Amino acid sequence: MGKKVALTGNEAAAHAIRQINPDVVAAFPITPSTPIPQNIAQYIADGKMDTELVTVESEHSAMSACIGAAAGGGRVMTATSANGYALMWEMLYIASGARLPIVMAVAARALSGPLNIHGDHSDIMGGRDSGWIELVAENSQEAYDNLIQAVKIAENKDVMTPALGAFDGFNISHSIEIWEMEDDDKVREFVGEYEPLFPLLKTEEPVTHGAWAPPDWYFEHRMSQLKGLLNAKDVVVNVGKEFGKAFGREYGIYEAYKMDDADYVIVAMGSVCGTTKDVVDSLRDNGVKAGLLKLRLFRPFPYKELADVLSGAKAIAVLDRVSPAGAQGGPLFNEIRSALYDANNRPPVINYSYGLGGRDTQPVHINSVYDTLKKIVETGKVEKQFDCLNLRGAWG
Amino acid sequence: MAEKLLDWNEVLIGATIKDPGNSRSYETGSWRVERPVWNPDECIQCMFCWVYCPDSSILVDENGKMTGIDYDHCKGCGICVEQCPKKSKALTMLLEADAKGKSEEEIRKEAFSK
Amino acid sequence: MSKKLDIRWHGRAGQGAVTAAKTLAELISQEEGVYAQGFAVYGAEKRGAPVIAFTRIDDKVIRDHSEYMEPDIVLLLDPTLLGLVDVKEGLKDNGKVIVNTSFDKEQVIEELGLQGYDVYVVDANKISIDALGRAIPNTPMIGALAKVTGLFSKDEISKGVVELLEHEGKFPQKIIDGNREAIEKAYEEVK
Repeated sequence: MGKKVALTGNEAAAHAIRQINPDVVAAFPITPSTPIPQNIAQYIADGKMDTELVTVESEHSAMSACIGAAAGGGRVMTATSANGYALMWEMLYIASGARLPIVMAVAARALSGPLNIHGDHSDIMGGRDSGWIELVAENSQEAYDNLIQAVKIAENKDVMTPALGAFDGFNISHSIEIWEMEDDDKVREFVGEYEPLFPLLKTEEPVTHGAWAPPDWYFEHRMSQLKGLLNAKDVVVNVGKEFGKAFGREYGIYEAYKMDDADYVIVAMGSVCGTTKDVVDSLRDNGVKAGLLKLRLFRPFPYKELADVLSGAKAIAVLDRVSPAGAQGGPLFNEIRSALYDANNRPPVINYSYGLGGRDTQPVHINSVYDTLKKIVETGKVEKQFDCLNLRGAWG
Repeated sequence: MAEKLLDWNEVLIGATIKDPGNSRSYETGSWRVERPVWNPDECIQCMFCWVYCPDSSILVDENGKMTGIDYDHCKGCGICVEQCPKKSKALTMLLEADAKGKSEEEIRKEAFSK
Repeated sequence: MSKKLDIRWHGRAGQGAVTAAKTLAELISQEEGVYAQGFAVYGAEKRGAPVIAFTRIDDKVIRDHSEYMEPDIVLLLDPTLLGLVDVKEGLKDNGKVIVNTSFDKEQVIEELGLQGYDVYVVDANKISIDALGRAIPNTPMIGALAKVTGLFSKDEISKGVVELLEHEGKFPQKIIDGNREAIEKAYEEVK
C-alpha cells in the first residue's frame, strides 16, 4: 500500500525514525548500524526532521541521554549494535526500571572477542533480561514496520516499557531490497502523540525519577515493572492488527509458515527465516511436510502460544544465532523446550547454533536440518541434541 | 519516615516519587551523638558554616542572616565548628547527653563554659 | 520480465562492484511486479581487496538473504582475480560471463579457462578512462550487462543510471555526462 523503494535495512530504520520524528535521538555510531544516526543527521540538516540529535561520546552516554530526555517527557529513539549495546548495558536496566518507552533500532551483530562486525544475535540475546521488549525482523520491510509499531507498543499505558526492533547486521542492514515505505502523515497518524506519565519538565507537578529503593521496596518495584513487560504481549497483537488495518500488513507475535500440518518444524528468528521459507517450499513440492515457526516477539516470551502452535509437530529444530555459552542450548532452544515441558505432546527438540559472526547459512544447511528431523522421526532417536550449521570441524 | 509498605501492584510506576524534595521529611537529626551550639553574640555572619554543612542544616532568614541550627536534620558531623573562623567562640560541639532536658539558654551556657 | 536472474559481481574494492550490484537492484525496482536484492560480502575494507557482490532479480519477493547462488551471469570487473577467487563457482552451464578486458574473446576464454560458458568482453577500463578520466569499470559494465541480458534498452539503462546519479545530488554534470557516455559505449561495444 505504500511506495515501493529499493533501500537497505538501515535506511528502512532511518526512514521509520524520520517519519516518527521523535523529540530526541541521542546516539553513537557503530558498525553495522552507523548509517542510521548518520542518515538521521542528514535528515535533520535538510529540515526533514524536528528532532534534537545529541551526538554523545559513547553508547553508554547515548542511553543515558535518552533516559534523561525521556524522563523529561520526550519521545526518544536511538540505534546501536553489539559492543555498543553492551556498553549501554547498565543503562538498559535503568531505562526499563524507570518505565521509559524509549525505542531503539538494533542492527544485530556479534559481540567481540574475537573482533567481528557481522550479523549475529549475541547483542539482543545478551540483553534479554534487561526488561526491554524485543521484536526481531526477517527483512527490511519488517525492520521498518516493527520500529513504527514499537513506538505504539512501548507507549501503551499498560506497557510503558522500552522496546527494541532488531534486524540482522549486514544480512539485512546493508542489503538493498524492495519494500514499501508509507506516507509521512500516515505514519505520524499511526504513532499519534506521546503522553508521558510523569514528565520532569511538567514543573507544576514535580516528580523525582531515579530514586533509591531499599530492600523493603526493590522487589515490589521489579515485579510491578515485570507486569508492564508481560502486558506487552497482548498489545503487540493489537497494534499488529491496527497496523494491518492502516497499512495492509498485519503482524502478530509469530509467523506460522506452512505450519498447519507440519511434521518437521524449524523455529528461528531473523533473516535465516527467509532462506528457510524457500527450503520449506521446495520440500513441500516434494511431499515433505516441513514448516517454519518464525518468532517475532522474543521478549516478553510468548511461551503459551508457542507451546500451542508447536506441540503438534513430530520433531522440532530450534536455530540460535548465538553460542549456547555453557547452557544446555541457545536461549531460544532453552525457552522453547521449557515452554513445551508442560505440553501433552512433547516432540523431540534439537538445537543448532548458526551464522555466528556473519557465517553464511545457505539452503543446503537448512535442508540438512530437515533431513535430521526426518531421521529422528524415522528412527525414534536423537543422535545429537546440539550441533552447528556450517562450522568447520565436527562439533562434539 | 513511617510510610506504609505497599504491595507490588500498588507501587507507583517506574519507582517515581510524586512528592519530590521529600528528603526533608526524613529527619536525620536522630542520628546525632553530639550537636553544634551557636552563640549569636559572637557570630560574624560569614556563612562559612552554611557553605560547608552537608545537610543544609544552618538556618538562614530572608535577609541572608544565620538564625540557628536545624536540629531535625543536623547529624552532628562538626564540620561547621571546624570551619568557623571564630574558633569555638561562635560555634562549638556539645554531647547530646549533656544537652538533654536543658533549655536553649542552659545549653548555650553549658557548651561555651568549657 | 518474468524470469529469475541471479547475478554475481567479482571485482576489487574501489572498482564499484558493490555500487553496481545495488544500482542494478534499484533500477530493477522501478518496474512493476519485479523484485530485486543487492548486497555484498563485507570483509577487510581496503582498496584492492577482492569483493563479491550479488544481485538477485525475481518476479516474486526474494526471501533468501544467504550468499549461496548459482549465477546466470557473472561479471568480472578485474580478470586478475582469476586464480585468487573462484569466479566460476556455481555458474550455470552455458551461464554468461562478462569480462572487463582489452583482450579479444578467444584469448580470454583460453587464458581464463572459460570454455563452455557464454563469454562476452568489453574494455570497461578504457571506456571509463575515456569518458571519466578514471578506470572505474562499474557503470560501463552495467551497460554491457543490459545489452547481454536484454533487461534494458540502451536508452533505458543510460537514462536510468543518470537519473539515479542526478537524484544523489552530489555529482557534477561532467561526471553524469561521462557516465552516460560510458554506459552507452559499453552497451554498443560489448561482444
